[in-house]
Amino acid sequence: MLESDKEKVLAALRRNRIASMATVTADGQPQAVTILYVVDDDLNLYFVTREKSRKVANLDANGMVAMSIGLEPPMNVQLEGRAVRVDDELVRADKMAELAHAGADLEDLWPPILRVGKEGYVLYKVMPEKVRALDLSDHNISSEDPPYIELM
Amino acid sequence: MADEKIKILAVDSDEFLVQVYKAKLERAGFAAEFALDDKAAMQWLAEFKPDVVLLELMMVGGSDGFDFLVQLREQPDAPAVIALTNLAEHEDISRAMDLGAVAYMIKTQVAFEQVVEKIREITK
Repeated sequence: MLESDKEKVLAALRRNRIASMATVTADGQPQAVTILYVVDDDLNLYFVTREKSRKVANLDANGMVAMSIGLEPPMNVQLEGRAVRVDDELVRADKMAELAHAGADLEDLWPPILRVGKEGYVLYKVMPEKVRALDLSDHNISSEDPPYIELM
Repeated sequence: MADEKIKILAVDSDEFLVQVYKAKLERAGFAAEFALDDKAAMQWLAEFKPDVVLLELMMVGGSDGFDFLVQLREQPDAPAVIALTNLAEHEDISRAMDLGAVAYMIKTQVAFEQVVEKIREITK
């Protein structure tokens, strides 16, 4: 993995805060949701969700997720990986605070997070197994040189 | 200076939401803290001395926002309370206002900017 490519992808992930994420139901049906996330230096993504949400049930049965991040140029990131619960209290507190700050930057986040239930939260860490980014920062794209970065 | 900022205490048992409140309030120029239950809120009242409390009336874990309002009435120099809640029934609104809330805002019906405006209005 080229460090410059990783940095470009990390920058794109940090520019965005919202991802479309697909999980798989216990009977194998795909399900897509929108999540708020933060990312660490190793491309791991963190998100919180309600304990009784459908994605928690899905992830209990199958931790694999697929994400699409960034609707606008110059980069769209497609990420596939495994989501695991984070139970470490210190990490949980740190990432919850980081997510709250990320959420506070988004004016439109306000209504959706208030319409969900009152049960507790689960923090997930998504460890990427495949990352593919469509890089449109170069305007001289050719069919011989596809504008994709593949990190894993 | 930080100690000249208007101080806001957000009281809500939703551990993620109160942290979003705190971050948003700080971005709006306030000093902010949060409490997840009424006991913690009473401690913050003594230590932080907020000018305004944002209060969810319906909390989980044994805390009750209406009881908290009653407790606040017994406090000298009690802060102004804005009920910021999911409860939307008329009797809840009347009860909260009777117990001393200065404003009542239903979470799903207001933008956070309106909460900030209300804080500025009552702290003028």
